[in-house]
Amino acid sequence: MKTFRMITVLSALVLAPLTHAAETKDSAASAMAAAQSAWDEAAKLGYWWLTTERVMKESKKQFEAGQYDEAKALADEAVLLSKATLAQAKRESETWQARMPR
Amino acid sequence: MTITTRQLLGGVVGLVAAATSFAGPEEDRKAFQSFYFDRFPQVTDHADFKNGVYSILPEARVQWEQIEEFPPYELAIEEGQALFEKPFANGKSLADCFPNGGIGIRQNYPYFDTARGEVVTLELAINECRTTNGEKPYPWKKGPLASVSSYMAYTSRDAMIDVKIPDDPRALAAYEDGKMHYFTKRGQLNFACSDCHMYGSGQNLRSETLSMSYGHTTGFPVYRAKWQEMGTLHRRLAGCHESVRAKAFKAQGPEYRNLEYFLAYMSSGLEINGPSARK
Ligand code: HEC
Repeated sequence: MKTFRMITVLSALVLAPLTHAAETKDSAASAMAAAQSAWDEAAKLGYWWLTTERVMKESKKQFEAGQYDEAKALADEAVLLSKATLAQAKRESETWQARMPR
Repeated sequence: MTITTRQLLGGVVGLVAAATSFAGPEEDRKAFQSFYFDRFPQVTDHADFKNGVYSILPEARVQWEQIEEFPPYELAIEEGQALFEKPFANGKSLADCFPNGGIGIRQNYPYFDTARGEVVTLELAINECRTTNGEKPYPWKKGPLASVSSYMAYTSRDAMIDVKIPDDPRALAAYEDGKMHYFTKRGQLNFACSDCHMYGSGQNLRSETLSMSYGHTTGFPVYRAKWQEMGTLHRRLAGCHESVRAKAFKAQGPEYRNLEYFLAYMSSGLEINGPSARK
């Protein structure tokens, strides 16, 4: 009984960082997928920012290096940037004609 | 039935209103050009807008004219001519693909190809001529393509830009797409071409004076001191996009071809003076 409890405690101690790593890897991956789809949505309208592309590249680089927290943070930033891009696309499609000389 | 003067006048007013409420490319062009005429009254000879920013900067113009006496693009013209005349492996050459053997035709580009339903620029036509004859295409932004384009522009100097929008809804759509692109803000810095090259034209941005878009296509390709080499118009467009932190579009992709179509149409009536030199 005692041994069993000890094994449980030990294995929890050993596995915890592993499951944490798996979790952060997953959440980084899904943040990156969200970043990609936000990018695609704006790009479909012909709007894309160099800044966002750079942040996404850096996120991939961090992911490949196993730096999942950094990768996720960057991917989240890219989502925000792409949302701003999308807002720009929408605003511009409604207002650009006012800029024409007449 | 007799028509009173009043009815007649009413009809005329109605017609005029109808004509002005439909702003087609021709009306756009007039408004576009008048904008610059009003903004730069010192440019009394409107044909001078072909000289780009130098038409409004008398001091820089003196330097520029000195540079143009021993032009840095001369080698590009020579190389371009050699490439232009060099037969392909199949015995044909670039001259075979163009009207008038490719000489003195730059002013007619870009044009809307009604058979294909898209805008064809001079650079696109050059590369397509190569690929249909079994040769590899040149890279789009510089090097041999810029040289051939330089030579072809050189043989067209003084010819007036004569870009047409044929009666085809797809041509109008391509023009409208280019126009929309010109006036929409892009990039993280949120700038439209018009912010800098219309409403900011003549003002300084860092060390440069912003040029007018009336005359934007006359001088290309250009030898740019900053590049230390030649570049095509699409190279420049990409640079302007990146300067506002927008990702550039592909050179000779539909976006830049449509944008060029709009820009060239706006500059109709100005003379070709490419290739030229820039800071
Ligand atoms: C933030 C301001 C800015 C924006 C926005 C901008 N440009 Fe420029 N552009 C410049 C500067 C600076 C130069 C170099 C000085 C000059 O010739 O105006 C330049 C040069 C050019 C030239 C070369 C002119 C010549 O005679 O050599 C062209 C053509 C041009 N821009 C087109 C465009 C188009 C089309 C857009 C929109 C896609 C655009 N630019 C957006 C700043 C801008």
